[in-house]
Amino acid sequence: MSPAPDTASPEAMTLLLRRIAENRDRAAYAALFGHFAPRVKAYMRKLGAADAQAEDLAQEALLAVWHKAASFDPGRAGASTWVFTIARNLRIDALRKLPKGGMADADSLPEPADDAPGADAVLETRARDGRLRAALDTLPAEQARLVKLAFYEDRPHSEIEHLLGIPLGTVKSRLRLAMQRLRAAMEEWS
Amino acid sequence: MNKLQHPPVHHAAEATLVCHAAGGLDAASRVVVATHLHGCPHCQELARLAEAVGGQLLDEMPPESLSPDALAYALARLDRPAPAAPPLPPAESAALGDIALPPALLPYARRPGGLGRWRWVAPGIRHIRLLPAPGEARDGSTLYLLKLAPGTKVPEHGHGGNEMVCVLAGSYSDRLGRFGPGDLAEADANVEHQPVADAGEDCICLIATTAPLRFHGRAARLLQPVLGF
Repeated sequence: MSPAPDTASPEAMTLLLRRIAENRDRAAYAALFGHFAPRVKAYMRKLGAADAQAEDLAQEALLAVWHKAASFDPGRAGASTWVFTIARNLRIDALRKLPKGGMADADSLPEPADDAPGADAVLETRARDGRLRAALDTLPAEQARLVKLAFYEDRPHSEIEHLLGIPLGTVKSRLRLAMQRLRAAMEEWS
Repeated sequence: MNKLQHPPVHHAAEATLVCHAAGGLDAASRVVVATHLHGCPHCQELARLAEAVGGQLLDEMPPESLSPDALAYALARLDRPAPAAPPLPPAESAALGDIALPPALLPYARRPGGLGRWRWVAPGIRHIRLLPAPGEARDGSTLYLLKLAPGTKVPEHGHGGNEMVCVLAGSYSDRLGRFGPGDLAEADANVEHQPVADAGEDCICLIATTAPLRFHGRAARLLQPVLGF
């Protein structure tokens, strides 16, 4: 039995974003919404938002995706990474009770100096995301757990110390090892 | 950071970059880390990788069901024009002199009154408090600019929480090394240090603290309420 085409692959998501940016394609938007909105809502819920607020933030994030689609650069980040940063920044501003696009955009990672995406950016993105996926799967369990906690527990690593009952130094060194492994895996590939 | 001639030599901890990417840092630390990232290709690469991890984890999330009309609502909103961004007030950062305004400080320079003026704290020490700010939710962190005249010693202190420092101009030294423009210093509860501004020029730093600093000695303790750390 041949596998069904993966409609939610990073490559498919990137192509949907392109159709949205170039043609304001509503069908593409509906497909993208179907994939990301329930996940952004789950992300907000996981970080403590109540159901209604989580859904509002998911709506806001996906609306921002529609308006900002032209600035998506597949040579720089995968679609899910780009959507993640939009959702994250909305959440930060909401927590600080600031207007959207208020602060969190300013104190995010700077845009890289203009490196035009190559023609095969979509393929590169797919390969890069696959590589990272594989590297994450091979992290030792205690490192993988901390990485997930850093993203899904809204607390600084000094509090993770109390949460897990391991010393802060260990939290930091495990995250360092995890990032080094991931970076090594990505360098090996490029 | 027009005085930045070399890439920074003191970097952010990987754990800090992961927390920045995850959106888990307090408001003040976020600005300090972003200011370091602005001038640090090494940390930018790691931060980008950490964001990609965030993207992967988002993809893996078990989807949460939406209300039945969620898609219809979303599609209906597409027809409305994007809300026009209100005109941005001009940035005012005269306090920084000829130091280029770090992008993460732009929202602060656009407040009424801009970054504001240096206020005297102690001989050779001036500061400008940026956070907490009126009207914003507080998360217990403070953000401020500190200006040390050449040779000024900051009283020895420990930390009840975390302190992050990014140097904007000049340099200082303590037992952790010499810190120049773009360098990031992170001190947690276990670190005690006594920074001394190097000779030659004022040392200007952007500092975030997440809990009050603990100063030692009676004279130093008197500073504590003044600095409002």
